[in-house]
Amino acid sequence: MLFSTLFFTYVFLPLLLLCYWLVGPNRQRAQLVILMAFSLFFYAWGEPVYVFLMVGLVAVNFFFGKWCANDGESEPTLKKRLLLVLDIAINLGALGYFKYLNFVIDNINALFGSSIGNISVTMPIGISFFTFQAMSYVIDTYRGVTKVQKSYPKLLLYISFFPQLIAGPIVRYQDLEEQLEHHTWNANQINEGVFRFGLGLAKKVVIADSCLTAATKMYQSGDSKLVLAQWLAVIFYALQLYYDFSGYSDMAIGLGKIFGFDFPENFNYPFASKSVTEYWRRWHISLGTWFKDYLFYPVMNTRGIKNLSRALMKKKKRQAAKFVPTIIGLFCVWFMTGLWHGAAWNYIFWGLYYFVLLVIDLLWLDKARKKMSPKVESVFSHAYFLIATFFGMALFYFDPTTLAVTLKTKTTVMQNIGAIFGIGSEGFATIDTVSLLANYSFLLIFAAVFSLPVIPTLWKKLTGSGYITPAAGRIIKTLTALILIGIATVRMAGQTYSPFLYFRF
Amino acid sequence: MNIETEAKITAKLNEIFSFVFDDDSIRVTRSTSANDIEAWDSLTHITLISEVEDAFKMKFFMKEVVGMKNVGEMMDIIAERAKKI
Repeated sequence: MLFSTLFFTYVFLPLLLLCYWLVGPNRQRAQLVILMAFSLFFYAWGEPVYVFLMVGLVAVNFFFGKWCANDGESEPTLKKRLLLVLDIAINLGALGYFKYLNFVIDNINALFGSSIGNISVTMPIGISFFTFQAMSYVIDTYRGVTKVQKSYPKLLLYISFFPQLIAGPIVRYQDLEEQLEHHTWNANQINEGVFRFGLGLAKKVVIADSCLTAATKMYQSGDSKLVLAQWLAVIFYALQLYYDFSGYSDMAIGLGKIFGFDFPENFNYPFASKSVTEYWRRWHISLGTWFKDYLFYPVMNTRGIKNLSRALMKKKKRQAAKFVPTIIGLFCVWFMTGLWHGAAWNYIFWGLYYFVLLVIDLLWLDKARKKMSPKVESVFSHAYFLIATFFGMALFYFDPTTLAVTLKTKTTVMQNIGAIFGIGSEGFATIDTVSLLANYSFLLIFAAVFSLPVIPTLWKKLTGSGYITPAAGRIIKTLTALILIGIATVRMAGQTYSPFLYFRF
Repeated sequence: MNIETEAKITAKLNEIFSFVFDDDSIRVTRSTSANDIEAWDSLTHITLISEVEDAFKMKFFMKEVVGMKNVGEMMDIIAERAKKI
């Protein structure tokens, strides 16, 4: 079920809220049961069979969480270590089977000329998200960071809680641990939640979907062989991806609040970044922190990496000892981040592209920036970051499986990327491109401006200076939410199926 | 932890922090945290941990690696567990 549908907004959500309200805040356990039942129905609506897979995986992780648990103040036993490895293998095995097996088969066939047939399987929605959440729970009990959850239904609710189930944020168990025992449900939180939900809905239905239309038309303009059209397609796509995914995250966080739960933020105006490193601290924050805690740190902590560092130190190569382990850790993280996004080579190249940019930041650019004057540094950093990011988006956007249908002639990822730099292009722009740009210029400016922290800055000034009192602020937010939901409703009523981009990951 | 031990740990940590963060002017106190040092992020954090482990011949548990709030907490763990100060 999609958040951006009339059924969700006007049937599922009000019905759930009604049941939740009838039970009341004094019966918290009953409220959790209602949330769990509706969450399972929400998932079963789209995945009537795979809902059993999810429920089963949670059961497996429930037991492994118990078996692997450690106090965090002593070395885990070998048995616990092996059990943790087994749990990770089960989760990754499920993910690998449904998401990557056909990709592996295709590559084996291409490499060895064999003709192994693909398996007929569809990927369960959200499997990349809920397997990562399940693993984080078991790893945290193993590390002693979190206590074991003794109630299976509560663990099931943590994983299956519908706002964050199918496209994140990848909420960590420790973020919900206390809230599962006690949550605060009051009018203020509901008001705040409705505002975030309305904002996210409008971001998705009004802005992201319009940017998709613009990107597709630009891409088709001149059959993808015009430099300006290609650049504009990529820019609109970047804006679409941002509004689509951050809109989804806003809706998820808003829905959490509506039911009295606080989720961590997933976006922090990434396009306001001055470096690629900063960008990845602001974009899909929950995935970045997941890979940091559960891949980067463990890789850096392995005996091999530590021995390498010590060996370099002995040879008096202090700088190498400092940077080489980090670079190896970054490589692992970015290879896996690329692969996590999809079973296709362009995602892996996309991940490795960011690996290279982050290494450049680490070794040279951070130091070079410090030597520049503040003004030069600011202009250079923003320009470099935007060009680098849009090119990164191009790798993401030119996914042949999704774009092939939009053109009369088939093009490859490399042909598309070549064309944005004028290689193999058929000119800069045509009159059609310019006319398209004129048609979409308002959207472009609007989407670009509001992708920067304009509203929070303005809001802080108005509330901080006393122009808007807290009570007036709440009324403004409620009215804004209603207007945004109203506008989105009109769009949803006249729209065809438009799934969120991150559903396919 | 007595004053002498704390001074020894602080001196060694100053050296390590200066090397990891490329800044000779760094002087840590118990309250120093990642908010006080611009370059102290997730990448440099683990390098810092490795350097501290090697210098004091000890090991942090992963719970501590991901949960340490400031230098004071780090110093307490070092004082308790270090084989060499």
